[in-house]
Amino acid sequence: MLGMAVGLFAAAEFYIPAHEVRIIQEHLLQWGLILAAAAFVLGGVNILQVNYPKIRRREEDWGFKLVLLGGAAVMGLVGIRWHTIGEDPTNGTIAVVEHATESGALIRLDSTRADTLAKIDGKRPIDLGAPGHVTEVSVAPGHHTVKVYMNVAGYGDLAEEVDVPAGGVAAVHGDLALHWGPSGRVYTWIYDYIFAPCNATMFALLAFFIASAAFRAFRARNTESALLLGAAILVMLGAVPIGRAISDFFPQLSDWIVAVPNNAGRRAIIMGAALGAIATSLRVILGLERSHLGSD
Amino acid sequence: MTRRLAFVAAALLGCALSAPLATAQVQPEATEQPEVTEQPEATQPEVTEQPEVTEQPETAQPLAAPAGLAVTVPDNSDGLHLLATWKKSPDSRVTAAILLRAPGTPATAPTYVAGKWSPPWVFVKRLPVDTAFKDELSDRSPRTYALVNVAERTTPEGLTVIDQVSPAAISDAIAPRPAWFDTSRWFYGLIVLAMGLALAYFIHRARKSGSDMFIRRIPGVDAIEEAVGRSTEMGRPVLYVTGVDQIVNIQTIASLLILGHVAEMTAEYDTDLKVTNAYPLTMVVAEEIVRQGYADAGRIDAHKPENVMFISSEQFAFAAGVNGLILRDRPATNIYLGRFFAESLILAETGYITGAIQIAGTAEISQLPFFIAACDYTIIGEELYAVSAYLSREPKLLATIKTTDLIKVGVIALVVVGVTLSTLGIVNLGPLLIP
Repeated sequence: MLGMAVGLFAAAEFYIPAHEVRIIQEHLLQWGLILAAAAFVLGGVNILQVNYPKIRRREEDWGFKLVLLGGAAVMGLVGIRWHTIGEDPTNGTIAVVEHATESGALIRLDSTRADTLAKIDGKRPIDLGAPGHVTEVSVAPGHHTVKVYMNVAGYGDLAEEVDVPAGGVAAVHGDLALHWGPSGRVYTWIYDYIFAPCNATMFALLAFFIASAAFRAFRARNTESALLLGAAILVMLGAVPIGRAISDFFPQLSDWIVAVPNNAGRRAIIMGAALGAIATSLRVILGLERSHLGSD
Repeated sequence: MTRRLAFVAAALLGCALSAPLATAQVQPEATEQPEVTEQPEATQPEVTEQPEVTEQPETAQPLAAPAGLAVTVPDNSDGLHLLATWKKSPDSRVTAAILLRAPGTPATAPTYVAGKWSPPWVFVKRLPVDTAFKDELSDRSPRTYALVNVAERTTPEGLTVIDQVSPAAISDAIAPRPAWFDTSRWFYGLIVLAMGLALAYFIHRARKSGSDMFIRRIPGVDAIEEAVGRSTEMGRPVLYVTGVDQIVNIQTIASLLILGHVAEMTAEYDTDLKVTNAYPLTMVVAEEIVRQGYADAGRIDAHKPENVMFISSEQFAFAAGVNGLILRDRPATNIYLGRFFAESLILAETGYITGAIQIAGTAEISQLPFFIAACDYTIIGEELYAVSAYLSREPKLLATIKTTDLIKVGVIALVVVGVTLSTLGIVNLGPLLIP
């Protein structure tokens, strides 16, 4: 009954613009999000339940499962914002020394980390060089904004405003704090240099799989396969330079096949699927089908 | 007859509810409404956007008050918007209109002194071009709107200053009210209503005639039992993939509905069923469904909860995990039902390499060719939603398939009529049905 009521409300909400309905809908969605977040804990437990016994029994490829659990543990640990626990880290210091130079004013910059950049009054970035290297910039006496930062993600930045008097020197010492958590250095490094390449590798496999699947699909075993093969050859000829070199007819024919018969088929499937989706929704909302609730 | 009357009554009620609920206007001339931008009350620029004022030269001809100011509740309003419309001033000196708002019915007209509007009027928006503005409000108390025309100039410093302010056109006080039916979505509502009515009819017919309903064969579904039998003979598990989308997606729900039947089959055949999920919430529901499937088959003791797995919600990590499982456990049957994206072919080709019987089904149109190329059977589009009813053979579920077919006939007829009318240049039905 509860499921039916919520389902009917969710369906009705689409047709009711009133703000009150939207508020209730947002609450329901938030509850759904909380449920989904809680389910991730169950997901973690499931991963342990499935993989740990296989490692213990030294089943086939148990080493990969060890890497999986180790990787999950590492990502879990580096995903915690350790740097926010206790005192907030400082990202460096700025000290102004008066009468330190004979004329004008100076901003003296250095950093404890390599690849640190600085911007004075939002102008062009200055590379601060190796740790300990001091960079001096002449400025007009007065108020200036200084920002010391790194281009790589996962570090804090020092952004301060400073008044440099005539003959004074502002010593800006960058000691940018390493951040933890999902936007922290270690997390982003693992993501960028381990996860993303693995992801790209999996995606790249698709090229080879397309070739092997196409080879099988385009064998003319019956009339339908022969038609598929013919259409594929024509579309491919239209899409490559050699097709145009043979005749302008091929690109036109290719466009026509994609835009007319192919599109008609696509739309028919989409319309049928949309109606099927509505019917399934009605079945679930009206409680005609309850197998997803654990009983028929 | 009763149903027809109910349908007409529902349609009339919908129209009545969706009619504009209130209108207050000074001069009710209709003006064309351009697209307007919303501006939340909390972020409205009060004084900062206003041009600075200078004293009006005594010799200047006064500007005329704006014409045609009308404030209405917009169509299909959520109850927190009011729409102000007016006519553009023909006076070439007028550079912008300024819209002001006051709570209730203020006693005085707005005046502009020392760069500020006299209370209780507050600045809403400077509108140099538009002749309509949809104002976002925080509550439903009545408001009065005023509109003034202004003549401005830009100083050498780049500041815009007001040279002249016209008398204000003031609307009646009006309160925003919500609409209870979105008239722009009437066609969607009509389809759902028609499906609901057709469903009621077919369920009634199914109850009378039992399971005597013809449903065409779906070879992919018929092959499931055959494939489970083959797995049993080979002593290898059945792999079931619920797709890579969350449980809120209707394809995932359809997949989970089918999973119950497959679990019952594997329980009866005493074959291992491995279910891989891309989201933990799907995994939790899938586990419950599989448990029930085994219970329905009277084999709850054979159920292994660890066979329902959460792999990863990252698309290719999920694909890698399932591929690993396919290559290690060598399932004799792979069933991919649900929503799939680029990983579809990676999974299906890996399954092909292991020599498994593969049955795939998705309504994701871009992935269908991959499944067709790499799998033995493919359940296409709407068939995915019919599988559960097809497998159960329950009359009331079969009634939903009949309903879909009936509405499909209606849609085909509408397409034919629409194409004919559009081709003959009589009318384009599209914008009429879905404004």
